[in-house]
Amino acid sequence: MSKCILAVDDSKTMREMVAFTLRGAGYKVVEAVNGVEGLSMLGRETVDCVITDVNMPQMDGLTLTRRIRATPGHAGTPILVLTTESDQSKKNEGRAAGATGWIVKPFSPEKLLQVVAKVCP
Amino acid sequence: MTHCAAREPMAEENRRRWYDPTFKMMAVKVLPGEHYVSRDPHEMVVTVLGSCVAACVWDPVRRIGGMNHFMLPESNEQDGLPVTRSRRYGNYAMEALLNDILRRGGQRDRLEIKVFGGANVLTAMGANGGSLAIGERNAGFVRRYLSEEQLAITAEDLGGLHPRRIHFFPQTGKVVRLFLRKGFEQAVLSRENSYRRQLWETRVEGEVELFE
Repeated sequence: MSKCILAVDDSKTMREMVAFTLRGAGYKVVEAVNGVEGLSMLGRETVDCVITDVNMPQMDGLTLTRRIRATPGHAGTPILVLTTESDQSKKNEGRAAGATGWIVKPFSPEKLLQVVAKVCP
Repeated sequence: MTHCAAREPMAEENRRRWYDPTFKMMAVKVLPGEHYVSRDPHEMVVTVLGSCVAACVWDPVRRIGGMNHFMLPESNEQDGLPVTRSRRYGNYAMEALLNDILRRGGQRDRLEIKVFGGANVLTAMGANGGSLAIGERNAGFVRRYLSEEQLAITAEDLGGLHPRRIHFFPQTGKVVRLFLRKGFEQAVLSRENSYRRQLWETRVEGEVELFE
């Protein structure tokens, strides 16, 4: 069974690039446009890893990260933040929220696959 | 740690700023690869575009606006594929500006977006070996990106043969576009060519950090 990645981003083109990269490597990808939809997707699908943007309407990626951590069964689910934000303070906030890693856009497809393989073996 | 293609955010004290006696306000210059966001009523954002494109994004309720300035890097990949170096760079250039505005209170569904530039002043070899108009490629990218992201273009002035100077007023969303006089084109060309060479060499990727 291929691992399932939940990709959360309000940008359609970004979701498309992330999904294309992951699907090409054999992952199953489900998509959500914000944190609220991401959480509901988490309840419907068996998700092995989450990749989320930070700045999104309705629920941002760091709130989503905290909510996932508080969801039974997801204390250890890898959560990668994929964002244009590169400030150390923002990264610290992500870490405190329970994120597993931080990837600054623009992402390298090879690096993204390496990181996903590492946190989601 | 990896190299980051995107320029590090510029320290504010290094930004080019001057008093513009014609417009009677402070001017802030946006150079290729940068973006700038402001809600200062006494400030205008200025850039000069040849083949490059700039998006002026404005939220009329928050009265905050920003402008970017970029061109797509050339690559050996065919345009139109889902994940190319060019698309990742262009996408980043647009998203960095949009995010900066949203983070400061702008709202995506209110944004008014005006796009400029993409004049055919530079030409290059395309992936298929043919000649490719760089300006046209940049203009095509920005139109396609905004349409895919369902962000409407309020006004556009793209293409043509002459470099433009853009003055954007972040308080009112107004844009003044001037065509450069003959004789000023060479400076624009040489700056764009140096940006283009720099893009060719940089890796289009941000850093990755795994937390313990």
